[in-house]
Amino acid sequence: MTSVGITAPGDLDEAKLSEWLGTLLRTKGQDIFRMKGILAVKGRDMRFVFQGVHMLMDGRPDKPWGKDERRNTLIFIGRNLDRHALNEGFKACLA
Amino acid sequence: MNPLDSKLRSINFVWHGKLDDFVTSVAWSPDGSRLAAGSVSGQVAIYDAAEGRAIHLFEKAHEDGCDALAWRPDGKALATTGRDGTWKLWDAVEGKVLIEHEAGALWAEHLAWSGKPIGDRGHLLALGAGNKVTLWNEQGAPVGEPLKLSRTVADVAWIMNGSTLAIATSTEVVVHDPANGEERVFKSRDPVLSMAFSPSGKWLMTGNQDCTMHVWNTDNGAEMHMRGYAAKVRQMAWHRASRWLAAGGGDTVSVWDCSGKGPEGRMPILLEGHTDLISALHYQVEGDWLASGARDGSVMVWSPTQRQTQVSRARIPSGVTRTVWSPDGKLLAVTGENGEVQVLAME
Repeated sequence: MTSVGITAPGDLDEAKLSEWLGTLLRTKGQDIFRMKGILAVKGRDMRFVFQGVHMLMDGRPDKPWGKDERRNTLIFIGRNLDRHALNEGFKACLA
Repeated sequence: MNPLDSKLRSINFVWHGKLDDFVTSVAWSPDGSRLAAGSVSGQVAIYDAAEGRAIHLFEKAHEDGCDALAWRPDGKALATTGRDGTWKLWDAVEGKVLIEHEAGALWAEHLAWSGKPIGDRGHLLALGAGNKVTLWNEQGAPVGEPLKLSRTVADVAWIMNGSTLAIATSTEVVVHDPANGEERVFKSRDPVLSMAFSPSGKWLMTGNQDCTMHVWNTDNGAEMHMRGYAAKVRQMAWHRASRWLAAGGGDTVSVWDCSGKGPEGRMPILLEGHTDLISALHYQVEGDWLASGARDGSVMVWSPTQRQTQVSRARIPSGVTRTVWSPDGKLLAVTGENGEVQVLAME
């Protein structure tokens, strides 16, 4: 089992994020046991909290960023995870 | 609104424990004296039900995660399974593994003990892994040949007072009688996510991929299709008398009257109060109260057929993953996305 942690400052494009996560779920859902993250989505004041267990993924707004630096932390836990692909996929979602 | 209507019973948090991550499974021992819980990372704990002291803590019951656990009916052993492709039978008193087996697939997600001894083989454990269901006896030895399904097993449950096995896959529900090997198949047009048989066995409900619920009257084969759900109906709970069926599939709990010809054409009782997706539902085993939990951590207790449907409310710090009443109905176990294991009592 491996875990891939991603952290990066900046905002994510909501549409690209949605597409990336949707594709991940379809193609790699069986191998991703757990996903957790706090994301900064462009145009949204609130932190976006992501929670995934097996094939179920769900995000919801949380506390406002306010004066805090807008940054993203995401962790994937699973088997046969492609660290490079996950990092590249995430980077492509930056706004 | 009559001011008396707004008086809810208070809830006491009797004790709270914490696992290391998302609680995937929780179960009271048959006598209600202990509570077992398992996490998505593989931790399993057995708590003393009255005080919440962790009698046993297995840090890694299953490498990569625990998906399901089930108490053997005599309460002396606990079966667990998960992402390492094995199932284990633990001595619940000594806290040691009695026996361990390959589950037959990369991982196993479904475990259930029969409610009755089956023939002269004692209680049987059904294990769903991949597209197979295997049966095991009380000592953990295999019984019979594996049951092969055409698709991955989505759910496993013992029905008809615990003597008959129901297996759901994405395309069908198979009812298997282990006493004589007879089978009955209910084919589904829509991919099945969840299944719930009434305790009487008369009604079969499935929650489907397209946010609908399908209903079979198993007596005469009549089918009904219920639309209008905002989300997938992953949670369903039957009242013990087989008349009322509670379903999630949104922020509101709908409770259907399945007496007589069934729910079609009837308006369900709508229990409104949660402001996020229902993630847990459970009816008391002996009483009439329904517990519901949602992804924002809200917990509610309902008496659906009373004029005032809301009995009580509470909140846990993260999204609710399970709500399970103790066998005597006095305690409610609520588990959370961040590992919370909390036990509540109604005033």
